[in-house]
Amino acid sequence: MLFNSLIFITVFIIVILFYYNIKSWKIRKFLLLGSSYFLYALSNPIFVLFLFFSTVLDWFLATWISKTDSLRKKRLYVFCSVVVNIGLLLYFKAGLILVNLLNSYFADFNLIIPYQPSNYLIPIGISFYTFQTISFTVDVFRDEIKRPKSFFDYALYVSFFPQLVAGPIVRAGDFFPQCHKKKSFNTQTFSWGLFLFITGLFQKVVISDTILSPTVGLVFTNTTPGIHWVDAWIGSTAFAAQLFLDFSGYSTCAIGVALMLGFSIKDNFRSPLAAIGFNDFWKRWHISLYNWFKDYVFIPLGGSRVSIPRVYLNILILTVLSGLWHRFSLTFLVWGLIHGVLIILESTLVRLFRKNKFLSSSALKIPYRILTSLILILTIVLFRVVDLNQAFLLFKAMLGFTSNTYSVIPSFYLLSFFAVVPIVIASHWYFYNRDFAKEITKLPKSFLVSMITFMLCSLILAQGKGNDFIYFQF
Amino acid sequence: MTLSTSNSKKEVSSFKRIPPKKRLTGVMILSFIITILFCTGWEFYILKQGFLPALDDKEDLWSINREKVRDDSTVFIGASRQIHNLNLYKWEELTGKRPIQLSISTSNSRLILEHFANDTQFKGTLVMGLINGMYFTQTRPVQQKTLEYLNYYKQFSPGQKISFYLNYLLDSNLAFIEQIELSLPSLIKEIPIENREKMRPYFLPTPYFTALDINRNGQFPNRVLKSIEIQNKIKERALAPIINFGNVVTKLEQDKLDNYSQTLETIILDSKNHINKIQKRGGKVVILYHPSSGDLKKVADGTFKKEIFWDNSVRKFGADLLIHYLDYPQLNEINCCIDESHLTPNDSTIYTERIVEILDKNNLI
Repeated sequence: MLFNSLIFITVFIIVILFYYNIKSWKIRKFLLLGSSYFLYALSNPIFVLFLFFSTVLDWFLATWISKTDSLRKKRLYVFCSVVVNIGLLLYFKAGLILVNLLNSYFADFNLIIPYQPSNYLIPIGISFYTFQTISFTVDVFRDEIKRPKSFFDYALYVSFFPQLVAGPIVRAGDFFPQCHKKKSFNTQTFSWGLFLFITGLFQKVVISDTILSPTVGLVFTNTTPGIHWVDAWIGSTAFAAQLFLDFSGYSTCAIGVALMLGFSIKDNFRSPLAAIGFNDFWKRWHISLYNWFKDYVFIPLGGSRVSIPRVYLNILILTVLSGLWHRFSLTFLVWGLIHGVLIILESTLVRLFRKNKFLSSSALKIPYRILTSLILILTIVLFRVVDLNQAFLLFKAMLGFTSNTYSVIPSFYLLSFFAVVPIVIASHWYFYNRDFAKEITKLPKSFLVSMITFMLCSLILAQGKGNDFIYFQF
Repeated sequence: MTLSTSNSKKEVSSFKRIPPKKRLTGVMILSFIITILFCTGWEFYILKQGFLPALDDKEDLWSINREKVRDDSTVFIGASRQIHNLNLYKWEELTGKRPIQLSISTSNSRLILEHFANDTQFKGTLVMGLINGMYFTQTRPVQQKTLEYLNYYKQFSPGQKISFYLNYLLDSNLAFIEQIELSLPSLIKEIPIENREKMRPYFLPTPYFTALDINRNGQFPNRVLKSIEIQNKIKERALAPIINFGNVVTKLEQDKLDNYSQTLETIILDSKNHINKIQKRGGKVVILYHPSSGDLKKVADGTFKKEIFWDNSVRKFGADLLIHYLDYPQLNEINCCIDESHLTPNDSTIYTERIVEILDKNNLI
């Protein structure tokens, strides 16, 4: 389900028309649940089965957890939830790789697994909703939330269409309280939601797909050695911006759509391209995933309250798992490892030089911010390349170790890049500690009208092909 | 472009997003009104430029038509010449059966041939348009588009189908919805600016020259038929990649690289096997070589010589009938072509009529 498709916009308008005209809150929630399943089934009706299975399984497990007093049994139910949901995720995301690995290992013994899991029929959004159902069961186990009385409220939490297919990963504790109170139509909330929706679409369709995507494609589909270092850096920087705008665009759309329905979803990004250091970056990029791993993996492993080597190991586990969550491949494993090492290095330096006034002064913030951005751009290459060989070729080019170089980016794409990317980066620096809603309030109405009109006209002119959001594939 | 979209920084479980105090309702309404006015103005301007509402050649339109194929259908596969030169409705008038147009512009038809060879239900007639330069190559760009179309078709979802029909309502009524020349990405490509030194060849797309209807019957839009300037631009831009590619192939031939002759042999063998599969099921395969003229003909015929690529290669495929326009005077005498490559709507009607006659004589209809 794409926010930038006519089918979504048509269904959403129909839902909104009924939603605010139905008196019963229960029927309204049922309408949301039905439309969530309908929109999800449009991508592939079979996928609904997996969504329903994961939903029902965790509902029963949470029910049993809340009914029993035996800690052993409770633990067993949580274990079941984790094993089944992660198993489902691994089957779809890593099945083919694991079968091939096992086959190559057993080839010497003439044993071959006569089964090939399909590698392209991955249920959309499975990485997101399985994480939501696991967190629900664990939260019930930890007694942080009570299992809701209504199964439909819970099913709506798992399948709520604004965030079902690409997050943000919503917590049950944030969602259930919102199901209690009937939502009444509020023009101010609705128009703010609509504004966020248009802003998100503009980020995705106009800047990410139209302006940055062709440049990224030219650099990353090129496999011949010798690409010029300027092209390599521009391609990689364009990809960093594209990835951010694509995913943050989706999150902003999701937040806007939910708000138009009267629901609140937390932020998923906070100006990550202006991060000062890697600890800071991880708290600003895909916040809902970072918080999930922190709460359900890092802290249960001891978090930062254990010995320093154990803390470092926990950090590595968090970053590597986070990398593999995106895709079960060597490039994402290496990406996770590099980020883990960078966080460890940074934490060590902070500990060692905490008392050094110069090193902890704000004068160093700007160069450190620039250094962080450069390393981020360098490592983001691993998100897009096909394999490590291609990554190595690009790293070589970016560090200037190539001869007989050639260029691949035509001047009109260079011009578009320089017209857009500095604005994106500057806006991250500006909004680093500022609140978006408050800043919008400061703008004169005439400026806002021009801005929204510009975004709407660009969206229509862009005539987006309905490209998938990059995070759909994760 | 944000960033942080909320004004709530507290991470509490009863989270509520509070909208800014500024009222945006009036702002939103005014913005929508101005946008509608802008679109209306833009539409009138585009109509004045000679554009008319037509469909874009995209994966969804191709997939909708692919779904129409039945066991005994007549299916056209090939590139843009096949789309322009064969008129579906004339063919239907003459044979009583409307063929299905599945040709894809700037592509080679090998992957589609393979796709139909592997479709065990298909036992109809496949009419394949072939261009030597595009068919006998393993390079990626000419196969990329076909791969994208085939992958899209394999995963064609109910949502995409409904979206197609919703888009169709807009596409068939608004002229400014046109991706090749009027969308923002294509406008960016027209920025007049010199490229840097040592730039790898980058070929600009041709102006919009194929107006399709829902059955993918295609023809030149009136503005192309009327404007010599646009016709020349199409020629110039279509020729550039062919000359570049021709140079590569000529170089390969001069160097007598074994790899290329191996490639040629592999392509011949694969095509033969695919055609054989269709014929074994009772299907028929006809191969067409459409006319070209001017510089395009010189380059194409000079590099991809008929004796090598048609007489000694395509003939080995074992198709039911081969039609090269040079072998049929009634085809060769048709006036070709305003852009050196595609027939005009009037000429394509005559051409279609003559192709049907040839097939009829050979009992292939």
